[in-house]
Amino acid sequence: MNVDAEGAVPREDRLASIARDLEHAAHLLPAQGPISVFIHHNTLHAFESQSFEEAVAAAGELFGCEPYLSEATYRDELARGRITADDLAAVLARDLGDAGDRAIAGLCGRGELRRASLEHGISAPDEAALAWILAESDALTRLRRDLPEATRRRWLDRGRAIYGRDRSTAAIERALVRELHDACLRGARRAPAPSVTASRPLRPRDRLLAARGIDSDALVHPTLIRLAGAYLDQGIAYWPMPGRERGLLRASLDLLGPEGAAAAADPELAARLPGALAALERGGALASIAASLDELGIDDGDQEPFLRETLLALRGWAGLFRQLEERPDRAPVHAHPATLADFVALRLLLERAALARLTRAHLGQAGSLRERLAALPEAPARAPSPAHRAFALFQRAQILGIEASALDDLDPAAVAELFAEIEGFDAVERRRLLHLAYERRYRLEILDAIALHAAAPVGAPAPAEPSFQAVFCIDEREESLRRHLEEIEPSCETLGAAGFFGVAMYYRGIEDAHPVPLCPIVIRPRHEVEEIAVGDEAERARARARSVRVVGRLRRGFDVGTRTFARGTLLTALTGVAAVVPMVLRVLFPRLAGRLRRRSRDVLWRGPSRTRLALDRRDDAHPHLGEVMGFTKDEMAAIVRRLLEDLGIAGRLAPLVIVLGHGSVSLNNPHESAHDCGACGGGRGGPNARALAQMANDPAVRDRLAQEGLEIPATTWFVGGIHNTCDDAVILFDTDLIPEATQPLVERARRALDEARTRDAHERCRRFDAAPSWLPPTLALAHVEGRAEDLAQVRPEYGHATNAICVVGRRARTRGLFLDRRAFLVSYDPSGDDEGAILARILGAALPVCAGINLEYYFSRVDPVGYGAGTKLPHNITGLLGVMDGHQSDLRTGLPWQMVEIHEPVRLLVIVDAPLQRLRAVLDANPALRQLVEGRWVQIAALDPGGPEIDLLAAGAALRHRPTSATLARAPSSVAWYRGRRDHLPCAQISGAAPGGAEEARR
Amino acid sequence: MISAELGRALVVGAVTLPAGLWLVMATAALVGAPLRERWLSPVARTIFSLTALALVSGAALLLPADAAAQAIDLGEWFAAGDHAFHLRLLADPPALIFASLCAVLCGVVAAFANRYLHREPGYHRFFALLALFATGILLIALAGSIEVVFAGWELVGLASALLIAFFHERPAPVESGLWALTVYRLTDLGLLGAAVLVHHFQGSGDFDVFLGTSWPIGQTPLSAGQAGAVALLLLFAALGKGALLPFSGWLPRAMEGPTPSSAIFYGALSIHAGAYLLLRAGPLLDAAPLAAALVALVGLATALHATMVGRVQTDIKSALAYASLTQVGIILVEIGVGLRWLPLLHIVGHATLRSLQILRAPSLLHDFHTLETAVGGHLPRTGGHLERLLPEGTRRRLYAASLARWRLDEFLIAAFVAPLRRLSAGLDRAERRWCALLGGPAADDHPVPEDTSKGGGDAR
Amino acid sequence: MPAESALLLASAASAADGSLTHPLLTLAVATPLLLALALALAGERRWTRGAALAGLGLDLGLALAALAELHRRGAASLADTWLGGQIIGDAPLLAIDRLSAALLPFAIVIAAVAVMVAPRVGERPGLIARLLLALSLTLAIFATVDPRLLALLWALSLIPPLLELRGRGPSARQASRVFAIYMGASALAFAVGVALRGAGEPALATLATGLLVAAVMIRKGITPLHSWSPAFFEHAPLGSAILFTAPQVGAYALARVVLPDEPALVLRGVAAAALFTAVYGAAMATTQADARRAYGYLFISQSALVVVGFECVSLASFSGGLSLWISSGLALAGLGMTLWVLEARRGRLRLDRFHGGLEKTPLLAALFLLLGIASVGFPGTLGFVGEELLIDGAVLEFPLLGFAVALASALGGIALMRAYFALFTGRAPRPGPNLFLRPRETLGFALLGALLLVLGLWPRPLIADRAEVARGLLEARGAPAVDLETHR
Repeated sequence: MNVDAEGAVPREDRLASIARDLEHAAHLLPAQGPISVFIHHNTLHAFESQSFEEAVAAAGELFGCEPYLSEATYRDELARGRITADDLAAVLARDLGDAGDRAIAGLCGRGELRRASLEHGISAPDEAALAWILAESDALTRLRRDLPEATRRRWLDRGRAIYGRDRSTAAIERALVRELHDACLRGARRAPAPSVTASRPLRPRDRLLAARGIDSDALVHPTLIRLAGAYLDQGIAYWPMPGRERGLLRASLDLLGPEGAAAAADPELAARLPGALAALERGGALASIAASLDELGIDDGDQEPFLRETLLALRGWAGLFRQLEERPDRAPVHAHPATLADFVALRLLLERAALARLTRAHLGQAGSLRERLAALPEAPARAPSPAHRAFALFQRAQILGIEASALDDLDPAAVAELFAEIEGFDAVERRRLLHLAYERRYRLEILDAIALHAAAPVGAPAPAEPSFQAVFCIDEREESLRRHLEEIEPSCETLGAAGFFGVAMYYRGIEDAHPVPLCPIVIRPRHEVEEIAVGDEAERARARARSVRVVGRLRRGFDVGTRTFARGTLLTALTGVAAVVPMVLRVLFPRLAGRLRRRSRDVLWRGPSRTRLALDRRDDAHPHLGEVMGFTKDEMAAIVRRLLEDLGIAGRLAPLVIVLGHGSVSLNNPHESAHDCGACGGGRGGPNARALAQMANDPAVRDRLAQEGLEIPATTWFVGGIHNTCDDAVILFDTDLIPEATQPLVERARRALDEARTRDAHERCRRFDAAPSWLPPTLALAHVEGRAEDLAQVRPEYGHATNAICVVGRRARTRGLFLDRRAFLVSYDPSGDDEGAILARILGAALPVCAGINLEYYFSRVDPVGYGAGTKLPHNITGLLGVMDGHQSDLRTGLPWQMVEIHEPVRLLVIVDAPLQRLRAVLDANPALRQLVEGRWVQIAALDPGGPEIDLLAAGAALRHRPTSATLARAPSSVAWYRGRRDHLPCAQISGAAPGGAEEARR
Repeated sequence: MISAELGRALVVGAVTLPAGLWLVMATAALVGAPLRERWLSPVARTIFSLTALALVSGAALLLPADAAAQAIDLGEWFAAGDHAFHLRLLADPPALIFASLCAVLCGVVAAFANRYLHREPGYHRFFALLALFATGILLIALAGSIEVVFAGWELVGLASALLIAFFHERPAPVESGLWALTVYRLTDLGLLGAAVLVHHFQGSGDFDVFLGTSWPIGQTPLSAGQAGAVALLLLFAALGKGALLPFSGWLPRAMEGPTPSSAIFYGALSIHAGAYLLLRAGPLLDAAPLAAALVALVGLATALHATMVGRVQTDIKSALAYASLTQVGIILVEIGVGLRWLPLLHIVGHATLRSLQILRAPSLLHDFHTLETAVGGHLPRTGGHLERLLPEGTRRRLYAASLARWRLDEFLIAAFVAPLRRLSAGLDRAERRWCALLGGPAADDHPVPEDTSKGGGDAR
Repeated sequence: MPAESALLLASAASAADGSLTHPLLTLAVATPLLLALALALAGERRWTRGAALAGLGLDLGLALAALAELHRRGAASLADTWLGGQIIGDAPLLAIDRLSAALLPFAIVIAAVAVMVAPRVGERPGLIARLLLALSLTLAIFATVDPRLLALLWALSLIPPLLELRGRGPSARQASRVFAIYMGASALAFAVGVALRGAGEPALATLATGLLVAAVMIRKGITPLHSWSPAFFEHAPLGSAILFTAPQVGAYALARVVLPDEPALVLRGVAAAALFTAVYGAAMATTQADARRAYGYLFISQSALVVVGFECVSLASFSGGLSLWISSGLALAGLGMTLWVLEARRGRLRLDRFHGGLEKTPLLAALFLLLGIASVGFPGTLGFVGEELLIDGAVLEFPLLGFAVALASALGGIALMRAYFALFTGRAPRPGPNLFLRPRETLGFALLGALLLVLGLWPRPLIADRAEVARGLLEARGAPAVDLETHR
């Protein structure tokens, strides 16, 4: 019992150093906040100062996660041609440079040896499995099956020369292989032993586990998770934790303390409580941490790494504490004073108790905890056995045709060199190169396609005077909708801008309980906007709100009631049977159930049919969250102006401009928000589009713009709307305000949009195994609608999965190119932006967002369990803040497997339609962008605005892309290209020659 | 009586359908050609729908039939001397009602899981286990003898444990599965014990022999003492499957499995199996008031425990698990005080409602948002009256105890598992020492296991 | 007349209808022996396993032919006088009756599966020949009529496992010594017991009884004379260990030598010890850290139930015990062999952590589970039928017995699932190649699994046969009915 540890008053600088180290280590924690607002960001944000390749290796080591896909996966891709031998050769040549020709042990070139390991699978079984493979498989009786025919023939010829022509092929093979294996074994025995460094874990838990197989976290985590969960809970528990206003540590100690019953069963913990309370009184959580460090025997030098490992042991929860400490405003309901220091102090306190208990039970009573821990033996490092090393050589020797005699003739230095080279080219290195090859193949395909398309576009050219313009979010899911819209209505023009359309606001819809921020996460909006009913509709709105409130209260009462004692008895016994109707309906006929629900709601309470956004600045009302209510006309004009400039259409507006935000609505999906608009901070961008349209239609705003030289023609009308990326619904707002003259055009656009969303649904369905490939577009639309309503559907949509490229430039450069929903499309007109100011602001806003999405998908895909949230199926929502696996686990951060399963993890390839010099200047001026590019977190290329030349910016130099193919696939329509195919598709030019794209799809 | 014949055939068919599915899947796996999802999906959906249809229509035909028509004798299974083992089913009203519930819920959950587990590596495993579970629970529902109950009971237990451990790559589900199985196996002793006693007293485990023929007012031929002993053993069996006090700790841990199996096992069927068994054995409780009182008492204690612990749970699945348990406890109280039809109705209603709630659990955020929208602000705070009623110290103690789930598992481990471990370790040491005495020192060829988990690995 | 008093067979065999005109049994016993010799001489070849399987197929045919012949004639027993005729006049050295006729194919199936699945890793050369030799000795024991010969074979059958243990080197030294001491004692006790039993002196007869019972208990691994067994399973090559124990020669000796004319009290004592063993072994198995040791305890636990039935309180429980003999023998042998092939892939198996690898050997995991639940009497498998009969028959008399059997089965189930989870679930430390079952392994295990399932779902023929055997033995024992009456 070491109560004394708390006795000494820690010095101020000690506490400061702990706070500093904690702060430093906390950067490594997941940056995911409450799950109801899911923000995509680079999972390895903390490593961005390093290069991508260094970062994945270092983070992989630290977190115990995978840096790349598995070797087996890449090899499958190699087998099916997704990676080619050329790609491997190219990345190897680039990686090794001149060193590739150096001969290893006089047997083969270095590049050759590496290539053999990359192209052919090298299996590295553990010792027992190796013995089994040698004994039971044909490893020692036959040559590898995947040898190229020539190599195999060479081997057999040599074998015949040695063992005589009259023996059967099988016998010769057996003899050859055995002889070779024996020679490898002899070689491995002669080779110097590899150096093995044992890593000494800092956490006593890890040392105890390594030495005795006992896991102290098994005692710590259940209590810690329950306390942390109870503390942060936002309203699941019927009975909230008492004393939460005093912080986690204090509230927990009060519970565990003499008054609480829980501690009684753990005398170790009970014995520490008085000291812990005393430390808390004196120096707060940091003092408690200091005492714990002392008792656990952590030296000052180890303090930071120890705190880091401690934090990472339950990094989801620790990360959430950190997030709520920094942004308490993001807590969905209650913002209790959450601090990371409290969490760590509590954790260490529990850890000390657990370790004391376990070491006492298993290591004896003698000494203090610190002494017992110090006496733990170190786990010895294991070097691979000769058999193991021989097997590695054996497999390569077969591929390279290295003979047994050649191996036997090597002198000791050569043997050492051979094994050093083989073992130096380890699994992570191999995967790195395989990954580079994997990215190279896709990069070349895309660059080829863009270049060829730029050189010889097909199909209808972009109209000089479009009938209407449609502005979408840059989101790659809108690529298909835009393409279909253009196919259906060749006279229209589509554009892309970040989906909050420059309107950063807190927004409260007429039915919403609270305002929510709708803008990128880095911005804290100043303005708050409400939706209000118009005129006589106001009374109806109030009536509806009243009745909805009554029903809501009843429903809440029912939900809570079924979980309680007495009410639950009545409710379940008397009304429970009735649940069979919704259950059967919702499970067996989800779409019908959704329709019935909506219809009954409409019949019961019709809401106000006409509402408006209260956009104008009001000083009489107080904002809930923002600083001011509404925008001034000047602010509105600035917003409209900026958007039109970004889009490059300021001077050439069509009579109708449709602005579509997007969002996603689905059931059974705790990660619903991750499907919403990233530019709206994980919200739905409809209100932003609506606000923008309302602003741009405002005569006062138009006046101001006209004064500044930006004329919006009087005939031009803006309409806002929202696209639901899950069920492909498109809703337009404020249609009653549309002037008579624009009405027919709106009708036309609406019809085109309707057809486009149907085809979009059809195209999306090709990725869903559950949607048969023969579905016609209308049924495909029904299918995606059913998915959104389905309780059992864990993939309502695939979100950003498959995102891979980002094109910043005029749509004309990509119009008519099938990009397979893989491209973020950002509108930018290089003409008239010679200084690059517009490019700088577009890239500065869009690139980090797109890269964040891309990298989050990358990491969740390469290690779905470590970086991602694992499979959704056991997810369990806790505290309305996040999901756990099962009843108590760490909080699962990152993306679930079902969102990333079809994703190809490649780094974002950004193609900017601008002169190389301008792009360089922009990148040089913005440190954040420079870091992304120089660290190779994204790949970036400049597309010459006047021609098809593409320059790839790599390692500081520009590399002219040399097309590897001369032709590009061509298809009359999108559907003709994707029909019947479920995989990723290469680019194709959509000629639009077949006006009956729709008929094509229906056929 | 053709309709009764047909009804019986349908009921028997319903029991054999899932078993057939399991056999087909097992055979396919054994010959190295496991059914692919494309094929398994329609087959499984069809089989489970047919099971539900057959049972519901069989029930409709059989419910009006008389008692004699409701007994289904499938003939002698095996015999040695004068001990013949008959496969006997009993399709009387409670059996038909409970079995219909089981079949319908299994059907719904199969349809749900078919989409929910789409592309999951364990798709096969799930359906094989669901088929096994369906067979077992239908056997329990329709059993005509205590041996058949036992067979079903074991199938349900095995399927439950393996489904809890479904996500077998993480240690937590596996440990939870093993813990559930341990509780099951130990409390199964109650059922086997009851079977043994019934045989001892009556020479047969058939329900009509020791429970009488006309539920709920059957007359048992056993004396009060005998009936009480058997009833207590059955209660012991129900403790495990029903997660009743003091065996409640496995229930929240069982939520490690995929949502649909959690719904059907711990929201709906498996957890009510114990209550159903006691309901079945109602005549014994009627004959033994003391045992009946104990049933009510255990039920009450469980309900109180579950409602207190449930109130502090901060994750939705645990909250629902304890909500289920509360109702199961109350159902036991109802049975204990001599009600028969009400608990049956309560079981059916509760099972349906709760499984729907568990199936909806992942939509919680969505629902919460909808509710907030409806209410027009943050939801009203709950738990206030608890705080008004209790003084602060008591409140805190009660909260802490509830948060620790009353330390039931810790108690069981300290009371039973740890002593067994200690005893066994001691005996093992003694045996080793004895061997060393005879054969000289043993070579130490068991090195310390190497560490395979990385930091934080087990929290996943 | 020791032979006569000891053996009901001897008299039965002299009946005219019970004699074979051709050396069927001799062939059945000799085939594996000759095969073993041939294979040992030929050395390890690629066709070794195939040849052994062909020979075993032939042998199985012979054994089944003998079984069919017995049933066709409706005789109590069949004697093969050929071997006896060659050595000592006309006395039948080999004979089978209803009890042993089924045991020959039973032992051959176990050996055949062992030959099929035997891994090539970690075994000394000549494994298959040694397995065949062990089988031959087991068959000889099951077909022996003369207790003196039984004693001799008893001793001989110890040699192969002893040699195997010695071959394991220093790590198995302790186990090998313990095995030698225990087994030497059992062989000696059995021989002396057999010799003394004819002496006629009451005191010596009591001593003989004691020795025989002790010999049987050691061989069967019944507490407190079981301590050799966990160490044996821990260190012996698994295949040989399984072939030595799974046929349960001890039970045979009990049925043959002790059961016919020892007083009920003796049997009751043995049964009580066996009952204790069942619970004790299962409890020990739940906490072992080493997979083999856990298996060893599970083995003595579940196989002890066989002997519980020998208490002879009722026909049903005796039949239950006899059918458990078959089912636990097959299931436990299969379970042990799954460990054997898993060990070949993974090295030494421990149960105190999760190994992972379900996805690398999914079928093996499923078969492990299937054979495991069959070992602990899960419904749907043959073991359930046996236990049900055992309990059902006995509870009229001793409800406590039912509880104890149930407890053993419950604990056994826990031990089994613990082993399953430890061996197959969890995350493997690193990705490795798939180690799927080879076709011959699949076939062997599938055969056993299917046999247990089919017999579990349709047990009537086997149970009827075993009940017949039980009736015969009870009648031969004399006045079983009276026995039953007095206890009732």
